[in-house]
Amino acid sequence: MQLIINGLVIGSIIALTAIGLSMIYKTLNFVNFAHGDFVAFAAYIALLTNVAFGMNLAVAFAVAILATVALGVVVEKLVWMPMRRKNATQTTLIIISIGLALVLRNILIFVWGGDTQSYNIPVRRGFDFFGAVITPNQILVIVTAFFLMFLLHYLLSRTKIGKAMRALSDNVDLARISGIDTDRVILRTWVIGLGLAAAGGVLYGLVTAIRPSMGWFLLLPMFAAVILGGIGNPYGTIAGGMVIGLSQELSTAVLPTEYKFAVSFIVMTIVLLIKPEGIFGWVR
Amino acid sequence: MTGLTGSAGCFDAILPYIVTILLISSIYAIFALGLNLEWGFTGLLNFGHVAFFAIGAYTTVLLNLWGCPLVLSIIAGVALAGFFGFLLGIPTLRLRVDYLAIVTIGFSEVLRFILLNEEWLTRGPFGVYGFERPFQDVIPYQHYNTFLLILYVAILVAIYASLERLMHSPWGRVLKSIREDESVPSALGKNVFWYKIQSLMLGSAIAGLAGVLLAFYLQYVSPATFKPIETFHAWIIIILGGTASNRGTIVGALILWTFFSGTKFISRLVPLESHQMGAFRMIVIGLLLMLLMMYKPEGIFGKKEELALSD
Amino acid sequence: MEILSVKNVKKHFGGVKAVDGCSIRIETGTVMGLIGPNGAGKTTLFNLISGFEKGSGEITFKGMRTDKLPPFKIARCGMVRTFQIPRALSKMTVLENLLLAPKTQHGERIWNVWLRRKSVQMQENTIKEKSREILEFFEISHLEDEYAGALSGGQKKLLEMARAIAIDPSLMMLDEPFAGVNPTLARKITGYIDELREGGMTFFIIEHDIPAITKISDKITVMSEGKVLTEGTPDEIRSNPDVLNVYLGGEG
Repeated sequence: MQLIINGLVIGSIIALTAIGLSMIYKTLNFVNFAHGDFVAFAAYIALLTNVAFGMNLAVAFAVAILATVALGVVVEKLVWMPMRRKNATQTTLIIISIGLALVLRNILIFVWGGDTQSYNIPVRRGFDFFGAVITPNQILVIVTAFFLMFLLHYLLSRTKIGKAMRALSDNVDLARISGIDTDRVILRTWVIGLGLAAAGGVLYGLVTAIRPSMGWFLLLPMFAAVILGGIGNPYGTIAGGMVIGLSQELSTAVLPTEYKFAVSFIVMTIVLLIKPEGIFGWVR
Repeated sequence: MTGLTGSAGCFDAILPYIVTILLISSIYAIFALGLNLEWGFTGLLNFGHVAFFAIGAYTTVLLNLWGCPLVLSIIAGVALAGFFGFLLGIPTLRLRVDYLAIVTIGFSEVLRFILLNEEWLTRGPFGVYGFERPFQDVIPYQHYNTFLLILYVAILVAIYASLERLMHSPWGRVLKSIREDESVPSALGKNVFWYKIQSLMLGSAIAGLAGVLLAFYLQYVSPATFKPIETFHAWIIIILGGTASNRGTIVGALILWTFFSGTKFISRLVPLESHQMGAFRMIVIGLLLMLLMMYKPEGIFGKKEELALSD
Repeated sequence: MEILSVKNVKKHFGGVKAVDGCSIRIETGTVMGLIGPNGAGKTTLFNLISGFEKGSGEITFKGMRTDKLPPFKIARCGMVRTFQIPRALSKMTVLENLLLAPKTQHGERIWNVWLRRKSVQMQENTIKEKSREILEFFEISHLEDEYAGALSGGQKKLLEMARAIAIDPSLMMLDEPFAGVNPTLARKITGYIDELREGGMTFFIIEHDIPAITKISDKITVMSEGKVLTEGTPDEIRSNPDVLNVYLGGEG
């Protein structure tokens, strides 16, 4: 039971952060290896706001999201957009994102050091839930994550922006011809994707120790969730994220805990070999 | 008089550093040459290259510790690295570029976890030491590194020469055609998949050899030596030197390690903590990688026309 | 003698029936033209025959079933195809592009690079000579050391054909060899095809340029909406009202 709870928690975090990865993957057609480090960046900004400036967590949450999105926009303008103009290949973008990941992660190490940190919040005791313990932090994570995902659903299905994004992700050229300003839509994709990722990052910091490599370690499960759900399908990614999170935690019942990530890897590889479009492609 | 002895003393002090830089550069040059074969000449996006570095090193030292003669252990290490290249390639080489990148990185991380956790086999995080080194009984200790340097440079030259010959052969021609557009060699009757596997196997075996050489130099191997960052060291070496240029790769390795060692010198002067120095190095590397790919992807020695990176 | 036989070949993409039951027979040493409006399924048929797509039905080449084989194996049997938009390997020189083609080069096996150095070198020299002859035949010898990426569209088309010939095929499948080509070059290409056909090569050619294709073909197949509409000599096709309809009627 405890494992299920843990699985739901980590699953919602993976789901939330992976949505951005998936959307950007589909719209810009490359794998952003720096995505994990944006997640970590958000956690650290929240840390900064909370610990150094003494703000409460809600404020830290907002600040972290804003800062991460701002960073993402800067990178889009300085790096991705010029590369799109040059018709850079997918491989070029992938390698650039690796460089970006290195830079981001090491800025975190440079400023904050490699030790683990955590937010300055009162420690509250967990309470009993069907024989396992669930902490308020964990509840907060799950609730917030689902609330944000619901917001996303609303955004995608009801608003004009959402429709434009879906059109773009279906067929870039067609979208461009129908008069959709692709750069603006791409910018919005970054904003939403990174915003969600940042939120996930802050929440992640609530339930684990904050380390510079936390983002990188989330990357493989995020990829697995994206592939499981079908690239570009946010709802599939959510389902994929929950499945990955749950299977990772449940696997510790039989495997040593360090092999958690091996689980994501194996699941992902199997899916890639058998059904690369994703298992949850039908969840729309 | 004091001036002369002063400068001689200075040289003596620097010499070990130079030997070290050259030694590590040769090891990484060999490591990167393997990757250059896979990516520069064949177009395979392999982000898990460090896995074969590890397999070569660990296999050799473990076998040796368990009593296997050194020469056999070395051969086994290299062969096993190549074999794992084959194993990795069979399911993954049919995947798209981006999937290949993700799966290969996952593979190298899973391997690292296995190295960390299967202590009964690999001594886990404590690492392995106490294994033999070639001719260690014959060469006096203070000259051993110099001996290694001569040996490693000889090996590097041999590998370089072999790769150059390969790339100018019909075999290399097929690889280059695969790199650009596999439908063409396929339509001309070449078994593209088999060539990709060969490239991956050979590249992995070379990486395995580099791993063995690293083990002998460090006298110690542990999972921490084989983190994903090593793969990206190889990547930056080949991009800096010029993708598909073997000469450039060697130069790239030299530049990278001179940079790393150089920053170690600076850290004595600048009041930064060691983790900050390490982070600073990595920030420079990351920025270099980004800037190179953005503005000068052909690196130092690469040819713009031969770049398989722009359409 | 029959060299290629296609029986009831089908390929569906989801709901779209790209090729819907095609049957064609081609005799050795002849030129078979393939015409039809855009979207009739001609290139898909080429893809199916050369193995780049898989569908249902039977394809027999030189007496062997090839519909289940991967493209490289089919190519080795002696069939080569060109692509609608020439796929010149732009990062390699023109000569290198041709040197890639010949079959059974010993040097293409990795161990031979060391074990049979002499033989590999001799073979290289032989195929270099032959490649240069082919380049001369197409009058592009002066481009030998240019990177193929620097070539003009027409030159790339010639390179594509030259490379296909360098493999010494029995059946050459050309996808729109005259597309976007000026009349002088078109006449040259027609001349080359004639000469090669005299030498015993079989051709299967997709074209939209009706005058050109009727001039060089022995027989023409007309496709429409994934099916074979009709087949016959150029004269029969020219006077067939259904063919005119298919081009000028519905889609045009």
